Amino acid sequence: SFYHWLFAHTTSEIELKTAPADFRFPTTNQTRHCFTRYIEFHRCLAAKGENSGECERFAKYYRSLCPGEWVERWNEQRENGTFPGPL
Amino acid sequence: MGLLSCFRSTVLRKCSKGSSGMSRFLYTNNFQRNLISSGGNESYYGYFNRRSYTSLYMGTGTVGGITSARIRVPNVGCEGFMCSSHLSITQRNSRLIHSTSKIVPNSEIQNITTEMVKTPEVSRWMDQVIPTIAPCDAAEPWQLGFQDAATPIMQGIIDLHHDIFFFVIQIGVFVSWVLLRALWHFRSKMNPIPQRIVHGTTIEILWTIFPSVILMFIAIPSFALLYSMDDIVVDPAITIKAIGHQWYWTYEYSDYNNSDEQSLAFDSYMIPEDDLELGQLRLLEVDNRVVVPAKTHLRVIITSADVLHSWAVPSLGVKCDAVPGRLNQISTFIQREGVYYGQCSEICGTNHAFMPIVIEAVSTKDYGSWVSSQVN
Repeated sequence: SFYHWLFAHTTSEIELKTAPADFRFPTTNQTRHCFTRYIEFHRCLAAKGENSGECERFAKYYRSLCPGEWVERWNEQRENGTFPGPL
Repeated sequence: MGLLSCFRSTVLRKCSKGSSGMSRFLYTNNFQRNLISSGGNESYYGYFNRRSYTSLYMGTGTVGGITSARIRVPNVGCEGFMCSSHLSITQRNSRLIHSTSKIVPNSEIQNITTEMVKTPEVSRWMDQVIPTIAPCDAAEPWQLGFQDAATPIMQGIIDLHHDIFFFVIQIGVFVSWVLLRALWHFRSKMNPIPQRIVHGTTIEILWTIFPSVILMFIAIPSFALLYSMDDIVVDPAITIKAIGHQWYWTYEYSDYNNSDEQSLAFDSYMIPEDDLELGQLRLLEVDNRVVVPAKTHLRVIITSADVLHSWAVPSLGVKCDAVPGRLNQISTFIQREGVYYGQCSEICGTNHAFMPIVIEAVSTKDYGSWVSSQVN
């Protein structure tokens, strides 16, 4: 259809890539995997600074693995200083 | 094994063998209507609508709430199901996703009655003459066998079941024969004075070793299949998060987000029976489908926001509990394009039966088009 043709040519490419499998978490339970990816991202920010582009990779990892509500709650806890993880 | 296959194909009728799409449509159409009524005024074609199913089942003679008129798609100048405007909104969305499909007029029957996989051009021309045999990717009434496999895991499960069933039939017949012979030959008329047999060393050894050997022959392929399901060695291409709620599923695609606020997320509610259109399945259709590419490694992360649910799709051979506060991961690889139906498989409250799962496997290019249309 015309609508689909128009949309297909104006949008950017979609890259099929996601967080890779981690051998630290080989089982079905991936709760710690999500938690660890989130902590790794914020440790990278603390080490390399907010404007560094090297931490974006870790951000994509935890966004792929963690539900949105969890990330929202953790962001709120970090702002309040009550986040339980070792940042 | 050939005898068992003959037995299976005659008694356990599979819809991919003797059932055409038309008869499936007739099955669907024969269900009772007006069993479930929804009290909301929203149209299920809305993108982020929420609906309460607390008064789904209306008893006989109960004066329920006021049921408002539902929004219907107008069928102007349309007769029967030969008209393309009879396609539902979801199937029109499917057509938008399947950008390269060329639908000829007679294929409307097949698209309305079943969710067909795409067929080559020559075979599609043949389908206009010969009734199409549709894959069985949704539950049929009184179905006894499996739904057709779409993943290697489900194919392995079906093969394992057939192999073990061979042993089960043999053991069942043998044990029944031994039991009936004992009941006959040791009945009281023939043996007024019962014998006092205390112990037999030889038969004790025999009936301990032989079952162990049989169990070993059953366990070897079973464990091989079980450990092949844990395929974390393959990096997936897509991660989908399925979040269970009372009583709907929320799906998140977060691989394409550039910030925490941006999100490709949608709720997937069951279409009530009163709103079903021609050819849609009862208690199985949803307003927003999970769209995934076929022939691609997927990772589905399953969790819950309130109580236990279970994300189960029989054609894919997956069933995984949704536990609040825990992320369970399953890996799957869908081998053919199609629409696969599942249901919540953990009792989660009053409307546990009304939170179905629909997965639509499309080509990679169509999936990219779908993501582009959703993200922007």
